[in-house]
Amino acid sequence: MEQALLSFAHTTGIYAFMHSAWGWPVVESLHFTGLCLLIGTVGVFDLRLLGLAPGVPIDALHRLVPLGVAGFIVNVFSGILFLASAPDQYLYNPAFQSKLLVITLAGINMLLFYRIANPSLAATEAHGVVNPAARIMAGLSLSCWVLVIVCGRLITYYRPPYHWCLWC
Amino acid sequence: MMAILARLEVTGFSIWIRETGWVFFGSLILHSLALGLVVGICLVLNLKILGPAARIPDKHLADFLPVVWLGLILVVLSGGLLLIAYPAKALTNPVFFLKGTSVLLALLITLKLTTRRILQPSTMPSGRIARTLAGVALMLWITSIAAGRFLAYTHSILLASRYY
Repeated sequence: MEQALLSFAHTTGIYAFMHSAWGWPVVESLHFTGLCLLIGTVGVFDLRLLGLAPGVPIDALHRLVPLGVAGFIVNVFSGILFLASAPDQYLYNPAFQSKLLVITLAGINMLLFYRIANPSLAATEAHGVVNPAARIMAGLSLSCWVLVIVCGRLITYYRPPYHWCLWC
Repeated sequence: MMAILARLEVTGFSIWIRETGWVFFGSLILHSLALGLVVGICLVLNLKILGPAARIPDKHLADFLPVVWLGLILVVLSGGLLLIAYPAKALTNPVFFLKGTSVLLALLITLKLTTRRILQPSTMPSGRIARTLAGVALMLWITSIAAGRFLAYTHSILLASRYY
């Protein structure tokens, strides 16, 4: 896996770009901008379902979710650039493994939200009381994204061969 | 200047932030989360003027402002702790001042445009000027994020106290 990622990074020129003077921080800046878009849309939508800014119509905020998805896509691509350019820093790092797990949980939670909570939410008036299922899923979503950011910062807080590990 | 920074670095408070793992890491995390909230909402407020978020009714924009202010307090608080931990790292690097200037300008334009839209719609600049200003604010927010990331790579001095 590590070798495959490295040879992909070398043959595509990703490795040379990422290890140039500007490569890593430029892609990190993109990654943080994607994070802001995600928190500013999906995070704020979650906060609204949890009771913050009750004056803002739920459907108006829901229309912003595609911007958050765009931010997430930016982060998947920028994340792949990090992973391919220094796979040893990520693949064996419990913080990275935890981050992928929590992103998966956030994805499952989102699918459940659209299957279970969103239909009844759509029937709720713009300023009506949000149903408990939607509130719980909003809380889970927000917790997941906060954890994703915590894990993301943990990945590089320690440098290989040192890493954070709760269970090792 | 360096002597003052060196004296700040050897205060008990600066050492405590720098050398207590959870305090320093907690400040980093708080800074990331709070900037996500502030910049995220401000990006949306500018995107409302530029088009993609146009469907949020004007009268509801004000509901976002307390969240922006709360986020800003947390950004400044966590940023302040990080600055006290490594004052020379930031204050000897021009990128830090680029970051500060772009945050201030971006905040000023975003809040001014938003509050005018809510409180004094008649004083709102014409569509084209408003869109240009919103575009400038958007670029300034991205510049501030980039400057923040570049800070970690471009500092020439980590601790002034090593020289004094």
